[in-house]
Amino acid sequence: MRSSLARWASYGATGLTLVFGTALLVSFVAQSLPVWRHEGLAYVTGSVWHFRSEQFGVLPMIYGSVVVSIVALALAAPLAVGAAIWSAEYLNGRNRWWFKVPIELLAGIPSVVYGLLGVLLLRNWIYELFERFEPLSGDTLLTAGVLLAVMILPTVMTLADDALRGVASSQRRAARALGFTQAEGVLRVSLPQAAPGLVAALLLGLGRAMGETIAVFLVVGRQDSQADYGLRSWLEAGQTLTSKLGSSETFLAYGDPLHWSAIVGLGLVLLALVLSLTLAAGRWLPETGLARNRRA
Amino acid sequence: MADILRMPSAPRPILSARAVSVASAERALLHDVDLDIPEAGVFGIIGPSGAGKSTLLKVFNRLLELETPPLELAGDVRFRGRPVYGAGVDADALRSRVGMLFQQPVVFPASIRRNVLFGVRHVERLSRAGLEERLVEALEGAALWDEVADRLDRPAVELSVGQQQRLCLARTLALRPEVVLMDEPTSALDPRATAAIETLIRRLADVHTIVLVTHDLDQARRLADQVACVCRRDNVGQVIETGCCTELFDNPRCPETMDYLDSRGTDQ
Ligand SMILES: Nc1ncnc2c1ncn2[C@@H]1O[C@H](COP(=O)(O)OP(=O)(O)OP(=O)(O)O)[C@@H](O)[C@H]1O
Ligand SMILES: [Mg+2]
Repeated sequence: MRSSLARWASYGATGLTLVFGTALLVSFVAQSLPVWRHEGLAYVTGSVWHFRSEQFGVLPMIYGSVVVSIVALALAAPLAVGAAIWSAEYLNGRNRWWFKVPIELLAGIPSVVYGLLGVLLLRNWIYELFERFEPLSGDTLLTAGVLLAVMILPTVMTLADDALRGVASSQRRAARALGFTQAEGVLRVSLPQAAPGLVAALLLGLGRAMGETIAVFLVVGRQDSQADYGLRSWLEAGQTLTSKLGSSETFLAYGDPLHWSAIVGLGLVLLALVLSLTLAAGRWLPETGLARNRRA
Repeated sequence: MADILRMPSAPRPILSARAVSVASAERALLHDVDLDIPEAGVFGIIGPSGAGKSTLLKVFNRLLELETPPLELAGDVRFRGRPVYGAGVDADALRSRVGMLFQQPVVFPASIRRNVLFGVRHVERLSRAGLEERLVEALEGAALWDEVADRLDRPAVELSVGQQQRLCLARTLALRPEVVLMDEPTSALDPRATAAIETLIRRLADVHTIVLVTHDLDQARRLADQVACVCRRDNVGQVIETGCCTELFDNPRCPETMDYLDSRGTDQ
């Protein structure tokens, strides 16, 4: 009786989520239809966004979102995982507390504050650091990526720390009893066993980077069209899906069906990117030993 | 009967402790322990729960240092005459020569093969054939070969607890250790698995030095050539007496311990 009630409740919740998600997706697709009819595939492959001439190419924004997220992850991952190893494997109770609490506090700072810090400090640093490449300003894709790295660092670190501390200490002790040094134990026992959790932490960080809006908005330069997609473009102003969506053009577009559908289309593309990331995470996880560890 | 025939004869002990004391931040755990463990054979350590048997065992391979919060150690511990806690002693190398078997088997979430070779792979550079040879040697040494020969690549967690314990033994034996410290290795096992391990311990004792902590007085009687009795006096663990089994069992100096252990032994 009790359990069947619980079962129905969970079916209900799942069903509601599915219905809601589908409704969301359907309305996004429906509202963005005009631009797909207008641009066709060029909507996602076109490099020019100029609404006055009714040109809507989203590739620069997709590119911007991917670049800033990857830069953020590439910078944050080694630091976060390194800090997590330090905290979970080398620090004892009280020291760990002193190490973790400030980092977790960083995760609670509103993103607009990070954005302001980016405007105040980071963009100048980036400008000066890369001066010999003659960037036009400090507002670049790279700046946004570095800022995002700082922002996702606490989250990734905390989750990675949890993953590592989930590895039973008896496993570490068994490795030490076989003559492993502490570092070898970390490398051969803790990290492999925590791998699924570490990957999940990184993917969550990536998702957060991809979805972050205001901080990116403030330092990315917000240039809609992109001529070149080489490494050089990292030091130029760019645009991400979120910073585009967050701009005042969203309100401007509301009166014009085609323009509005182009904006909704941005949301659809963002949703698709984040969704495929989540699915990738889901696909990857069961195969990496989480299931094996559970059984153990 | 067997006990009497296997009198200790090694002139120099392989492991020795002199005036060893261990203390945690709050209190003393072991006080003034003197022990000589002769080479080869089974050296039993008996005593009631909480007396400090496991702690004493960990003193010998420096696993004590890995306790958190750390424990203080005083006194002199030697392995083959060389100080175990001396400056410049490689504790990790020491641990691969003085192996340890825990109360509960700890297998790694990997195949049986990988579990057995886990330690060797990293301590020695062996060819593929060398590894394979070591694998068979270790599993045969742990009397597990016949049971797992056809499923070496299956996950080790699929084994029964008794088999897992022997797998852990094989993993330790693969390193060809000189001493194996065993902390109540049969306490998680049923009588049949216990009998299997006991036979094994006796066989291993021909070549290896086995230090066996046990709760079970009968087990100590059956297996040990010499026994040390760790008791709690004044709330601190102390080695009350050591000796050859028969005299110690017949004429104990800490009768209350013997009573304790005997009662445990019978109601098990
Ligand atoms: N790391 C530690 N810090 C503080 N106290 C400890 C620590 N390890 C063990 N002790 C204490 O030392 C005493 C002896 O513990 P130990 O595990 O050596 O006993 P034991 O003889 O092996 O008991 P059992 O037969 O139940 O395994 C216990 O009172 C225990 O609480
Ligand atoms: Mg114990």
